[in-house]
Amino acid sequence: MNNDQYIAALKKALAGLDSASRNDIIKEIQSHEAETGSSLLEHFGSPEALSEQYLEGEVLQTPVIEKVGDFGKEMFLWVGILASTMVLAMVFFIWNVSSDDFNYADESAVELDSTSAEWVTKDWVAGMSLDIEQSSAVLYWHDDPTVRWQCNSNALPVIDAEKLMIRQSRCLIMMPKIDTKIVADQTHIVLVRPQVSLDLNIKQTSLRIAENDTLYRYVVNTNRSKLDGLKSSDEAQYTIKIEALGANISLYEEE
Amino acid sequence: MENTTYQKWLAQLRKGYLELCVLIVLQRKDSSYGFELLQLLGNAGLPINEGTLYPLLNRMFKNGWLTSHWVTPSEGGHPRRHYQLSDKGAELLPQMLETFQLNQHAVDVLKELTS
Repeated sequence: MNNDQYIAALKKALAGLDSASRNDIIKEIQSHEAETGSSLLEHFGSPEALSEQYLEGEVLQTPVIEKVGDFGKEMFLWVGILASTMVLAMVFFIWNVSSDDFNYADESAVELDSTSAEWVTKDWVAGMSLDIEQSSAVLYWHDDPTVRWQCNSNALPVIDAEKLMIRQSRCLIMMPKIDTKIVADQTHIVLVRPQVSLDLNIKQTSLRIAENDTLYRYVVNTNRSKLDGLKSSDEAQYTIKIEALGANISLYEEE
Repeated sequence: MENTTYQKWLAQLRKGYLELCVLIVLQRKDSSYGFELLQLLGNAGLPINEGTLYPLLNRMFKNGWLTSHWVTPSEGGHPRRHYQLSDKGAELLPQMLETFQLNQHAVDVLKELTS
């Protein structure tokens, strides 16, 4: 890899940065190259490894669509408009399913004791996981070995031998007190006083935790995420392990 | 395996230590750029590679500890990105030095412990 190829690869790897920062970085490295005449690969390491150093702790912008082949600027303009429309639709959808004045942290809320037919109850088998996409979910824990939910959506939750799948829904969910893995993508989640240990893998998701005076041991590994207010306690009975990418994680506060 | 864990420990230790050293250099020199800092740190017994120094300078700049501007050398050539200590960096440096000296003192005290 010669220095021109190195610079091209680095530009690509830094695409998530704002253009001013990216330009300064590239210009500075080119300045170093001009001064020393050195091989960039030899002195800076691989472009990918170098970009990781630069991106550490950065909040990235939406990746830039690369220009490919013979597609003209007009085509990319339309693609941009279409993508922007889809993003706006997604934001509207998430806003729509998440805006609510209900205090989710209130575990004695009348809504949760409802025995209406809207509540569905299913058996929960140890080892099952919860898989949520493009949804808004509030999770509580009850003493029954079952899972109960009430969802507003056209796509009802689906349960199989391995997981409960929720898509494009807004749900209240009563979970059994069994350690659970939760996978979430583009979702709003509120966990209300978990009474088990949890293993969460979340992506582009808002996660809020209503501790309700309970201590938790938090083991958090984040990438391009915002973490606010969680205090881990070594005396906690339950561990909440969180792997997060592009997520916002905070304590729940009544809206 | 042991070498790997040592390298990790060393990387963690050096990160904060190098930031402190860069602040000290920029307090003494008013302004400097990447290649010159690389040489100054190396001559002081702190060899550092380019892939570590430049991202570190960028991070310190983003933290608001440094300011920067581009300078084209009078003899010609590619513009250089010069860094200076910001007000925030200048305010932080004495605190960092004090912390470093306290830590150094703690190590000295612990080394003198008798069983």
